[in-house]
Amino acid sequence: MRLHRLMPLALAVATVAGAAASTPAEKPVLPWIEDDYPGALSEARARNLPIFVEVWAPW
Amino acid sequence: MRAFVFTDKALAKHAGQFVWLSIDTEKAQNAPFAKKFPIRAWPSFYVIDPKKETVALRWVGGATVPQLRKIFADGARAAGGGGQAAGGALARADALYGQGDYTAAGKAFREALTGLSPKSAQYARAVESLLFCMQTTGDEPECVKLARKALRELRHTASAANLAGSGLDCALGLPDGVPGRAEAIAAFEADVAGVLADPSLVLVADDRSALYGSLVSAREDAKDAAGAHEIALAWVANLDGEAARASTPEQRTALDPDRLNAFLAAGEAEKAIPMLEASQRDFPQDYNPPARLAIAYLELKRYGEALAASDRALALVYGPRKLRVLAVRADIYKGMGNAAGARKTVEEALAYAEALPPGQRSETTIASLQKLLATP
Repeated sequence: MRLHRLMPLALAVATVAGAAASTPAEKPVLPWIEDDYPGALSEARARNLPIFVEVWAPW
Repeated sequence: MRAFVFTDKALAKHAGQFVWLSIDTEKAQNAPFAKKFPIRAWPSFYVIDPKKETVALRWVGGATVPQLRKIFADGARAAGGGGQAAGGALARADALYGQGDYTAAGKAFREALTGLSPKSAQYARAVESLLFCMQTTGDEPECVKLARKALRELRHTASAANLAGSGLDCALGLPDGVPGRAEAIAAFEADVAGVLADPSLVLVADDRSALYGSLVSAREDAKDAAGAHEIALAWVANLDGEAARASTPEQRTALDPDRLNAFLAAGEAEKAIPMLEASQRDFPQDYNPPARLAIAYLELKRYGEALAASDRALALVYGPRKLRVLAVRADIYKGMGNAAGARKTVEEALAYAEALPPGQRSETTIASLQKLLATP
């Protein structure tokens, strides 16, 4: 990963179009839990599995 | 990643290996997660040990399916408790990296690397993580040295793109006049060009795109406008090809931000309009197409259309990204000669930034907005 692709939030910079884009996939291959860390934590503890987290933003 | 990689059916057999969690950092409900696990880049991947709620492994940036498989294997191993000596050092480094302590993580990755062979499965990941630490802490000289050394060892691997691109970015970040700066830039430019020309390297589309962007920056740094334009045209052509091969509207739209950057670099902002209008039709609830249209129209000085697109984006946008939409809006007003409109927009942005919850709130952003308002 390249640091120059991080998105600064300062208003002074307004011409950068965006970093890596992500739009929702049509058919998820993996059983993702959406936006529920406490839920994923409970399930992981119950099933004795680590959590794999995809951190993304819709831009 | 969502449109291209996580749709690959080859990943299905890993379903039982983890509990899979997807976090959209723009949503307020995820702010506590972002506060607990500092995030500096998108996308990022974390393997979390649920017993201790600690990061066992963190990967920053996109990944191909083969890279993901390595991450899964490393992550499962790390969450299981480390292992041998180098693995133990690497586990410490990964934990510090996960906490966002880049100085300490960098030191730990260096220690881990002394015990890892370049042929080992973890070596490339440790090098790439260390490079990110160096970039984050502004240690460009060491970044240049490490990228140069690691490129010799990993030239024909999937890591080569990141090493060459990061090396070039770091070389460009060296202060003017530093001995060896020009030579380092030239060497990494050749490396990046070599990666782009190597048909054996499978790269994620936006990683390939970022390499073109770095080459443009290098030519601009050399005040070579013609060279920068030539590369920008090649960048546009590459992404046009990717878009033509996209098999779903999601895949095509996922290329929009890179394509817009390429069009802007090539001085062809008008070509972004039909692309973004198509995305707007396909995804009417997505704020990104109108937000990007506002940027393209602004570049073309078509301020009325830019403002209308900004209105549409503002009606849909949520989370910290709204600040970016407002930034463009302020520039549109400036372009129109409407200083009062620009100031009012910045004031609105400041109020919004201050109201964001911990995990989404950025003191740096707030300070920059305050500074902007204080400037006459």
